[in-house]
Amino acid sequence: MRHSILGLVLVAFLAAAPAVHAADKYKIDPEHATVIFRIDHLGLGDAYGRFNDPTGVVVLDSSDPSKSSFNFEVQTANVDTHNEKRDAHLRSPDFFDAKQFPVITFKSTNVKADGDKFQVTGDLTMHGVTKQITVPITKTGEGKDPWGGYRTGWKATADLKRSDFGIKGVAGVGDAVHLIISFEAVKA
Amino acid sequence: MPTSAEILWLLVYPTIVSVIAMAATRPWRRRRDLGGWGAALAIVGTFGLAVAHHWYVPSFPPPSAQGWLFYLAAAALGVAVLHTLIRWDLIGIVLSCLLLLATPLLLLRGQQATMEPAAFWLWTLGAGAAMVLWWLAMEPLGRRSRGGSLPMILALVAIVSGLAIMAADTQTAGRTVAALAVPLVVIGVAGWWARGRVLGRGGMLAVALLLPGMLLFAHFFATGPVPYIILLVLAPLTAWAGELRGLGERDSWKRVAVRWVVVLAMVALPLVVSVRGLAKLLQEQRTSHEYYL
Repeated sequence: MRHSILGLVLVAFLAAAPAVHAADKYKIDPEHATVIFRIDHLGLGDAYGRFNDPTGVVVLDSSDPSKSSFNFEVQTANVDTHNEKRDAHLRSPDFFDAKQFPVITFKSTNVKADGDKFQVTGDLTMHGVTKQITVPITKTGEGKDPWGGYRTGWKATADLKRSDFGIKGVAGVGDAVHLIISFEAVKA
Repeated sequence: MPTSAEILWLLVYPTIVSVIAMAATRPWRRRRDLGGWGAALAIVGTFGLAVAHHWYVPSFPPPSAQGWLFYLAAAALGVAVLHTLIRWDLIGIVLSCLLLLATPLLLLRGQQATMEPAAFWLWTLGAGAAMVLWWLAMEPLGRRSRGGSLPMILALVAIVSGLAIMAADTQTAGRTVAALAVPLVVIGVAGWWARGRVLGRGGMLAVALLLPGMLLFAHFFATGPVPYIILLVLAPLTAWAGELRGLGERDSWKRVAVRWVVVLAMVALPLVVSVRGLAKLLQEQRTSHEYYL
């Protein structure tokens, strides 16, 4: 009798399993991911730079988007402004202090979705300081790629103050930083 | 060129703090020793101002090595006050040694994950022992030499160290070290005026913590060139040359001159290379697209 009941429970569980939709995990493709920053220079113009090879994981729950998550990571040593000397200066303790703080991370804590538009709140950790920020992220597309994978595309912008993260730097460089982020993520 | 904020935080405020600190030790009483907490307050206060200006007042526990130096400097001031008040040398010496021994461990703790365990412990214990030995060698010199020559020599080493770090791509750390010259000059002037000893029981501890401490910081986190860092750490120790026998009375002009010549010889190479490096940098900024910032 006991075996019959256990068998029924098992059958019911197996029957229900396909109806439970597991969240899909995507790994960010560093070759198709861009983090560009724009900052004021001398109050005269804008200077642009980028962080090469960002990495991260996106978990998408299509049945309940609020259960999705976005985790992003860039190496501060990967800063690239197309000028080796300036890059070395940006890695120094004057700015990113790359040896002490080698990674900038963003870990989402709350996701709100409206179609393809997401409002992602999370903890941004940079230069040893963690602050909560909200970033609007838009899904730009999804589909099969030519290599047999399945990928999604995303874009986002964010505005920060580097002084909020204890990066004072030196005179001549603006405090406000505008970030332009675009990436593709491949289903794991 | 320094901005007005930099002039205020790295020159004007440190001068005010240092003058107040040294005045508190009553230098108008002629031939009175001014050692103890006054010199420590001037040096630690200046370092605190420089850190606050360049990186903010750090939270506790601090996430950065410079943040740890900020709190270690505050602890050094506490040791200096205790050392001055209780005048029981053994306690002051033991606390000073423990503080210096712990300094590299706290400065480099964030690097433990990226270093081989053997290298990490070799560096932290080796550098800690070196800082203790540096202080044990310099403290007696601070207690025996009267007048302003020793603080002025340390001010010179601080300026050259600052230039060397600035030439190695880190303006903030370089300016922080160079700013230590301000209290040392004020202490030197007070020493000349009072004709007393100025760096024993506190002042030398603050120097031993912050000068080698910031040079260690420059080596690990900036690109401070190792040979110059070694020369700059050793330079103050060579001031002992002024204590050789046969140079006349203690604190005579001959002894002071020998001190200056030997220390100048030690800092000459880092000074020349750093000045040339900074000049090249300024030239590049003016004339080439290769400038940074």
